[in-house]
Formats: sequence, structure tokens, C-alpha cells
Amino acid sequence: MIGSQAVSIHDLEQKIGETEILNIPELAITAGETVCIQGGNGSGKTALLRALMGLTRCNSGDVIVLGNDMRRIGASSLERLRADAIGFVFQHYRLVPYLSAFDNILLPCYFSSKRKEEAERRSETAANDAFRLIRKLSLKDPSRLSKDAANYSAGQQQRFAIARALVGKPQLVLADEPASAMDSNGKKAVYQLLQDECRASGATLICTTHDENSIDGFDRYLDMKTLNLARERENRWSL
Amino acid sequence: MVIMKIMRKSLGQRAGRSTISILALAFSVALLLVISHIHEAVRSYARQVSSEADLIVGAPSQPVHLVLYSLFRIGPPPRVIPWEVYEDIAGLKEAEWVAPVSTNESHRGYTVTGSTGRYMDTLKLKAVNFIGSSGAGTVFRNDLSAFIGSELAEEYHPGETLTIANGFSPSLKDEYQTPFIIQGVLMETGTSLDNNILIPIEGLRKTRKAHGIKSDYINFILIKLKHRQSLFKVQQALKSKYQVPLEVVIPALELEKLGHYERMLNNVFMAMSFIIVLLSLMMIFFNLSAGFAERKQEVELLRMVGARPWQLAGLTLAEPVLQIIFALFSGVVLYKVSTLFLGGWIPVVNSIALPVGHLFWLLLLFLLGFLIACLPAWRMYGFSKRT
Repeated sequence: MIGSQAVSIHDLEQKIGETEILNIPELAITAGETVCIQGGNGSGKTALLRALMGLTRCNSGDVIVLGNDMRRIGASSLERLRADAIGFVFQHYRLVPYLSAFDNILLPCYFSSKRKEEAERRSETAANDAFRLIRKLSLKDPSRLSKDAANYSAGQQQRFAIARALVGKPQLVLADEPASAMDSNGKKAVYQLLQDECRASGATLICTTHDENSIDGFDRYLDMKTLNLARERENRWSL
Repeated sequence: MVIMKIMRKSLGQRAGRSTISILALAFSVALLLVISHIHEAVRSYARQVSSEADLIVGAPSQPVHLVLYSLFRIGPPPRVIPWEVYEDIAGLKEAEWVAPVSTNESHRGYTVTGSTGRYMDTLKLKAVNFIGSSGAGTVFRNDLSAFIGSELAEEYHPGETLTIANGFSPSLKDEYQTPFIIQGVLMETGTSLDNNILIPIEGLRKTRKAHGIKSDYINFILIKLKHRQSLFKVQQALKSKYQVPLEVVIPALELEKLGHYERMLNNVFMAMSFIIVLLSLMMIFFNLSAGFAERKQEVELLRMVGARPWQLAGLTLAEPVLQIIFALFSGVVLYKVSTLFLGGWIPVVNSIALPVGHLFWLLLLFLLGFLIACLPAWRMYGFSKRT
């Protein structure tokens, strides 16, 4: 995918009721690129990522993700695309609370044979790949992953969610404020890991954040103020 | 496989909340089965016992009272009638057998029933610990044999002797001198017969004569006819034949009247149990519905990693279905334990096995539970499809 476009948006418009929440005339992200989208609360960062995940369908315009038109893609193709090719980190981590941290990290490998094979190719077993990732996230004792996910701190849960997004070498990683629950050291480790892993595997990384300071290392930085015209027109949200 | 793991873990997490609805359903199912079982057992026992005697003759009283006392020993004993009535009825050509019963004597407060082996057979009595007999063990060896009810078994043993007295608050002069030898102990019946001493009527009559009692009397007579077609004819004939006023009742008819009230009562209990079952199922449904909102994010996540809508719907369906199956199973176990316990108290309960109708109830409850579980599963399927 390197060299081609991983994400291409043209005249995207999305409304909830009468309120326009996204209006992006043009956005192109090259495969393998690492992009940081910055913006304040309510600027449309999460809405944009949800549109890229196919969780919401836009009212008009084109959204192409890894060669798939997200407005026209069928349900089962979207299912496979998300399971095989997209890693994601939700804003509130969204771990399955009654599954162990280990099972949460390996969830994509349970449902996608492609992700499982990729993890095994890299570290012999999917479990080893999970351990490798969790070590890189500065977790002091990565062997203790057997407790239910709900029993860990917010910062630790966020690390598990990041490891889950990266396991099995997805082509596109979408991370919605992936370090919001961490201290400054944790934040650095998270962004570093996301960038390193994606660069090593050639994956495209799109990260959103409202933190305007000390986020280094991305290939490109985008500001939602200039990217999303819906906010400018309505002037409803002050950043 | 991961879906199974998620289901197991999810069930474990919701175990506390599910336990109450499972327990409520299990108890209500057990209640439903126990009520239905008791109803069947009582009906079957009443049918059995009443089919043995076609007519019962006694002093004038409420027909139902006469039937209840003579067959189940419920209520006060009927007043006495002369022995000659029995002798006359015994000579009827329509009668297959006639059994006289006297309950006018006692032994230390225990009722002494004087009758024949036929009466013992009619009541389906069996001896558990007896000497010198065969079959059910209730054939009297001689006129001075006695069988004791199960509740007397701790105080008396086969081979021991006892004396009886006229009436229930006898003075010394009412004590008969002739001793009876205990031949055996009767199996528990759950009726007041368990407090009775059964002796042969001939032995009782001889003892009375030896004590100087001139007039002979009994409390009621059971009659089995050769042909049931002559039932009403014989009933009418007996009512008009004697100088002494008599009540002649058809036990099957009286029990049928009682059966009507018993069925009404049973239906009320069944309806109450069924309402509790429905409430328990609704509890399961509301638990699922309440859990639906908190599961939305979980479902969105699982959809994102590749779980299919039918897998998630299956997950939502499997949880309540497993709960319902577990509750039904627990209900059946509870019912079995309850009938075992009740059997010690009301032996009639032991007389029947699990009726086929019970399986119908269980199947109906399962189907009802399945339908209720399908609603949230269908909602989940729709939500998953849209995610």
C-alpha cells in the first residue's frame, strides 16, 4: 500500500439531524504515513475516525479507506475489512470487562485468521506478539495479564487497547486520543510505539489528540480547525 | 470458541444478578410440579380406594362425611348401627363381598378398628413387619390377632399383647380382659389409620360378649357388588328396607363431588404458580433488557474485531436459554426432593411417578422462556447489523 492512498476523502459531509458535524472538502493520506489530527473537544475528530471505521455512514461525498468506498461497501465486506485490516483505539479504551487483559489484546486474532497469521509470523505465536507489544508499553510486569480487564487502572487499560490495535499487523491504525489517560512518560511511550510499529510494518497511522504540546515524530500534523469546515461555518464550538 | 469463552465469562459476570431470577424460576417450577403431583396422587389414590367399594352404609349423616371417614378416616366416626343390618346385607345375592367396620373401642387413646381382611385390602393396607402371614401381610392369623398403625411401632412390637376397652374415655369397668397379640405393623398411610389398631371383627365380637355386652354394633359397612348396574337399585332397596334409618352412599359419586372442589383449588394453586413462573421469566427478560444498554459498547467493539451479528445474537440468546434450562433442571431436582420429603409425611404422594403431563409443563415453560429470550436476541441482531 506504500505509495498509494490509504485514506482519501472528497467533499465529505455528515449531519446529525440538522447539525452539520463534518464538512471536509479534501483529505488524502498516503499508505504508510503517520498523521496526527489535532483539535479541541467537539471539533469532529471522533466523528471523522468513526466515518473511517465505517461505524457511521456519511450523507454525501466520498470516503475511500484502503481502496474501499465506505459509503457503498457491503456489510460483510466492511466486517472483513475492519477485522483484517484496521486496528483501532477507542477514546475510552472499550475493553471487554470480564475477559482477561490477555484475551482482550488477542481479540482481533480470535476473529481474524489474517491477523492471527501475521502475529504468528512476527513472534511465532499470537501470545508472544501480545507480550512483545505490552513490554514496549512500559508495563512493569507483562506476565500478569490474566486478571479481568476491569481490574486494571485506566492507564493500563489504555495500553491494552493500544496493544489490541497493533497486534496482527493491521494496514491502518486509527487511534482516538490513545494516551488521554496517561502521564507524560506513558504518552511518549504510547506515541513512540504506535509510530514505530506502524513504520516497521508499513501501516498507516491516524491519531487524534486535543493535546497540542509534546507530540513529536509524526510525518504530518493536521488541524481540525482548517480540516473540518463545518465547525468554522457554524462557529458553534470554541476551542 | 472465543464466543463460547465470552459467553461463559459473561454469564459468570452476571451470575449474581442472574441467580435471583434462576432461583425464582426454579422454585416456581418446583411449586408447579409439586402441586400438580399432589393433585394427581390424591386423585389416583381416591380412585383406587373408591373403586374397591361400591356402597357404604352407615347411620344417617352427611354422605360426604361417611365416605371421608370410612375410606380416609377424615372427620368424626359415624354413629353405630346394629350388627343385624350387616348380617342381612351380607346375605344379599347382589353383593360380592361385605365388610363391617367398628371403631368404637380404644386402647390407651388409640382407636381400635374391628373389621375383616377385606377392609384391609380395600384401603390398600400393607404390613411391613409381620409374623405368620403372606402377600401384603394383612391376613389375620386368628380372631385375637392385631395389626398396629405405623405410629405405634415405637411403643409396641409384633408378638406383644394388648387389651382394649369400650369407648374412648373408659373407666376400669370398660376394660375388656381378653388380650390381642400384635401380628404386624402397618405401612404408613398418612391418615389417622396410622394411630389405629386393627383387629378381626369376629374377635372383637367375642371379646365384647365375654365382657357381658349384649347388643352388637358396628359403625359402617362397605359393600362391593357383583355388577355395578345394580348400584342404584341396591342403594334404594337398602334405604327403604330397614326400620332403623340408614345412609347408603355411593363413594365414587361423593368423591366426584369433592373432586370438583379439589380441582378448583388445584387450578387456583396452579394459576398462582404459573403467575410466579411468568414473573420469573419477566425478571430474566428485564435483566437482559437492562443489560442491553451496557452491552452496546461491548457489542460495537466485538463487531469491530470481526464478530458477526448472528454470533452476537446467539450470545444474547444463549445466556437466558442456559439460565432457563438450568432453572428448569433445578426446579425438577427441587420437585423430586420435595416429593421425597412430602412422601414421608403424606405417603399417598409416593404412589405415583412423574406424570407425562409434567413434561408438557416443562416443555411449555422452556418454549415460553425461549420466546422471551428471542426478543433481546433479535434486538441485538438488528443492532449488530447496523454497527
